Amino acid sequence: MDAVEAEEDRRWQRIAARWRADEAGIRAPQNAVRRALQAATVQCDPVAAAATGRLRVAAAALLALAVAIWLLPASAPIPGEAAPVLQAHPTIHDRWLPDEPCGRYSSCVDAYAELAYLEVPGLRGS
Amino acid sequence: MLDERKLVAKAVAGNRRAFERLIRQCQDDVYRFLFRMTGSDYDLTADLLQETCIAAFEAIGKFRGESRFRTWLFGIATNIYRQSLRKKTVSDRQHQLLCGLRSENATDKEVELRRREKSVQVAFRALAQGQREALYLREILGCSCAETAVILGISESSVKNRVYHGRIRLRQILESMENQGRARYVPDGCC
Repeated sequence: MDAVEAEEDRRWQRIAARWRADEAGIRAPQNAVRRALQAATVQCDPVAAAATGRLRVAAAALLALAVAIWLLPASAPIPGEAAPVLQAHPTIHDRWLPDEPCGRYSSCVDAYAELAYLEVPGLRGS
Repeated sequence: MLDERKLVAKAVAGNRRAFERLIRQCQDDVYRFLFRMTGSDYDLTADLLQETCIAAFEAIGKFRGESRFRTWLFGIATNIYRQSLRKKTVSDRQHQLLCGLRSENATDKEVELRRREKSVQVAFRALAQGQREALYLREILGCSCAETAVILGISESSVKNRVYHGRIRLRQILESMENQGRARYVPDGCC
């Protein structure tokens, strides 16, 4: 290596050293790496994709169940317990119902339907 | 800690965790390489990194372990980057960065990037693509000559040639910038 080449090399090494120091500050952003790995392993792997799909379905089902529970009225009748239905009609007391629903209150009709379904003994008739 | 060969064997057999660990071992170097090749474009680099990971995961079953995983992954990253060049994605953006976007078209990120841009990076972008690839892998990331040749798919003598001429050209551009007292170097034929 002649003197000119040696000088050229020294100058380059100075540039490269400064440059390498700058590059050390560049790191792959974690979110970009995570996204890249996720894309690779999920998109390319049918098992993983299916698992992700199943998880989504399960999450949707859980959400639907939670909404249904939230929408369910607190006073909804529990099978075998007719009292809340009976109390909904202003003319029906706890122990008696007329032979026919009065038709004035929807709750009365509902009460008959409920009782017919439940076949609660001893609640009908005088 | 598992060595690379064991991790590679597991990854080849379909172990996703092993694959992720291998990727994470080289993530910064691959990111730096793509970042510089794309002209310091954050979004494009993230996209190319993702494409590299997908391509690597698809091909890991065929990896025979004849080179280091890092070399193999760099080869994939280089192909992905070159494909994007053919699609004009990178070249158009680099051209915009080199020539200087008009401020109303530049995003905040690009304006900030240019403000902080080191002169060496501006000069680096002005090199020919082949010189940039060889110079960066060999001189900045510290790949061996043989490794660089495998990654770029060229002979070792071509690597040496590109690195040698890339160095000289880069220094000339830097000197030109200093002499002219310019903040930016605009290569011949640009704009």
